[in-house]
Amino acid sequence: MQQHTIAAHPKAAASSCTLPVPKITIEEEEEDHIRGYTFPRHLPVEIHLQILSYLSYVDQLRCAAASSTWHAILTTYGQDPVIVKSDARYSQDAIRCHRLPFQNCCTFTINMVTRKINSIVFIPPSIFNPAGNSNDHWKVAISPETMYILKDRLFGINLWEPSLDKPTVRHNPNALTIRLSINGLSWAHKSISWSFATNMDLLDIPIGEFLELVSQLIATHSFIKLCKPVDITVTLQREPDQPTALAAKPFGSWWDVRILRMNGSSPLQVYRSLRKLG
Amino acid sequence: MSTIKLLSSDNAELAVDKEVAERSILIKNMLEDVGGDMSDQAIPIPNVNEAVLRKVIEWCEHHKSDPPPPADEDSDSRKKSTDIEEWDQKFMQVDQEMLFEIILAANYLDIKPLLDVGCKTVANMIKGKSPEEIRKTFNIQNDFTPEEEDQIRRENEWAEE
Repeated sequence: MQQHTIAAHPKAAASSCTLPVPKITIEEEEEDHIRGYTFPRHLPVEIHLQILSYLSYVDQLRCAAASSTWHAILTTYGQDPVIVKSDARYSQDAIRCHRLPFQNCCTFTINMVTRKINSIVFIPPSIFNPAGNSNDHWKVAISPETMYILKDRLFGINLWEPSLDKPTVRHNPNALTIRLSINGLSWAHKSISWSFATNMDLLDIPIGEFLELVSQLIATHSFIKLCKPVDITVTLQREPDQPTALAAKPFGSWWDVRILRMNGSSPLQVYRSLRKLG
Repeated sequence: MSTIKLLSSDNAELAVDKEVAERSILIKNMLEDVGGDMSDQAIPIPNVNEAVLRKVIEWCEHHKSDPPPPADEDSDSRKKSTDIEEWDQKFMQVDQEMLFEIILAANYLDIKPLLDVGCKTVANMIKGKSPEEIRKTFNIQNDFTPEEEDQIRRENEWAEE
């Protein structure tokens, strides 16, 4: 993305703005006047941030895709406490885990080149997809380099507290566990845990780095290495490892990474093709 | 009850109850600075025209008895609910130019509850819309550069495969 200047309303010069608000040029102002649009270029950044703070992260992503001004604002100020502390990204009463992998599950299509994430397309959970709209309509392309939401911490504060969406789940206080499964290939499942005690950085891990961790896990899987995959569609879901709420001990939780498609085909098809090739 | 005069950017003089005008922290501070006596001259509001100033005063009159907003930004009232009370919803049923002028005026005059209502109104107009619908709603020009558009299109084409 090019460096974008964020415009201040000419009239807002005397307002209580504290964030840098480069002025728009006279030509831009005239152009706006001719075209008859005044939004979003002419608002101070603080007002943009306040508006965006009322929106869910999915709506924030759509705003970033709708306008380069919003894209620039969210890229620059996406970690502003006004937004990060808002309910838009973390659960309402227990700021414990980012909403991105909440709800039922969310799907990412990760394009990887030599183990590095090249691009990510995020398909929001179905709750955000009103009936009658195809999934494609709601897909959001996320730039791993610039998308502010990937810089959000995966875990918020109060890591050990249960959250409203899954009150019976406590995060495993000892480790971050990822369970990798490949659709149709039951023998290819894999699980890996990283201890928080020896990997303190994981407590602050941003979502982008978490996805890189996931992609590393995927890339080193013995079956996937054979396929030299480029495009992988995964679902990411936070799940309890025990379904009952009756047990006295805190539950652990794990992250389900399910590979749905590889280079446009189902993993089973890929496997069969490989077997045919010997 | 004392009355003060406000002078809009287009030189209209509007008389308003001091109590109502003091919903604006900017005006309240100005009056405090001059010892509260501005009965003989109008307070210039150079960033707000008459039409917008009248709307702002209308809002301030309706809300003149409201308790002051909490100073703590993280308080419960600052929760990100976009609920807007019925009177405010009707008040905000204006064209977009006026809506954004009210927001800017509330920001300039430091009337936080009015700014909140304005921003919530805009947020409610965005909710659940696709990027294209958002552009259409606000008449936003697609202001990505051709290179950026190419990049976005390539990413999305790849996603559609």
